[in-house]
Amino acid sequence: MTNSSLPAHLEDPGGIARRLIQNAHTGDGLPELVVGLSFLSISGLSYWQALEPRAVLALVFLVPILCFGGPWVVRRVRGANIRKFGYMQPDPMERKQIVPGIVAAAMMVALIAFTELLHPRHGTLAGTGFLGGLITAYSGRRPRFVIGGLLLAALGVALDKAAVSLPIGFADLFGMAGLYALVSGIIVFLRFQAR
Amino acid sequence: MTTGIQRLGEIDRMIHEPARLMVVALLAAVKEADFQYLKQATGLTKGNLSVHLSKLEEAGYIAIEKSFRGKYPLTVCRLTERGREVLDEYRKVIQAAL
Repeated sequence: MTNSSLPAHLEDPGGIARRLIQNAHTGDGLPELVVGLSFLSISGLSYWQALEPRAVLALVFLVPILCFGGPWVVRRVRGANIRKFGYMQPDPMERKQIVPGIVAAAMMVALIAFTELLHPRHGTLAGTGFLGGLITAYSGRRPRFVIGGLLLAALGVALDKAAVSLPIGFADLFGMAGLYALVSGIIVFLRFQAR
Repeated sequence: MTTGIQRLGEIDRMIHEPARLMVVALLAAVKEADFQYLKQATGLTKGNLSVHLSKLEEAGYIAIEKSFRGKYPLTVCRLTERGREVLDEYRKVIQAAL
């Protein structure tokens, strides 16, 4: 329990650093722009997959490219405009702390895939929406990310209840998440540029 | 015997000041960062940040190095060993008090 008689800014420096780094990372809107465009691409391919099942191959190739390419693009843009965005070299030890989060997310994805294999169409969209919402809210931690996470989880549940086909359901889920991230990213980026 | 709360009297005032604490805590979590990044992350004004960085450098808690990245001049800051020790001690006092 925190002693309420202490000055307000008495806080563990590690917590302060994490919040400041998070603020700096999401403060320019670039990660949201990249995530928004990536999700919209995945959504488009999912729609295509609904029409042409072989399009799943394009999806299989695109997802890893977006996963590794997105952060690379953000680093390149920031590196090319260092005067505006600033320069920071991460501590390799701090970077390793994201590994448990990645492992947890991978385990949840595996669990959803396993559930889908045992009970086809049983909560896959709801599970994906919930997991996506959780990751969004946890990774951003600002109100706009929490709202986005809640919307994603609610949409996942709604699509699951509507019993739409999986490709269409994923297309809707990623499409809405991408649109939200893109609009939010554009607003944050414009405000950052105006500063 | 000194209790946790009483140890607050021994706290290092150089890094207890909120703006300087932000800078030191941030530099402890990264390898190095430049002036612009620190300004954005902390929300401090140029003048304010500049003054605090000078004080921290004078105390030997941070090292400031002028360098270039491509054609851009950078003012790169990093925490010194002394700064890290003081921050660790600060952390212990705070944890004992909370």
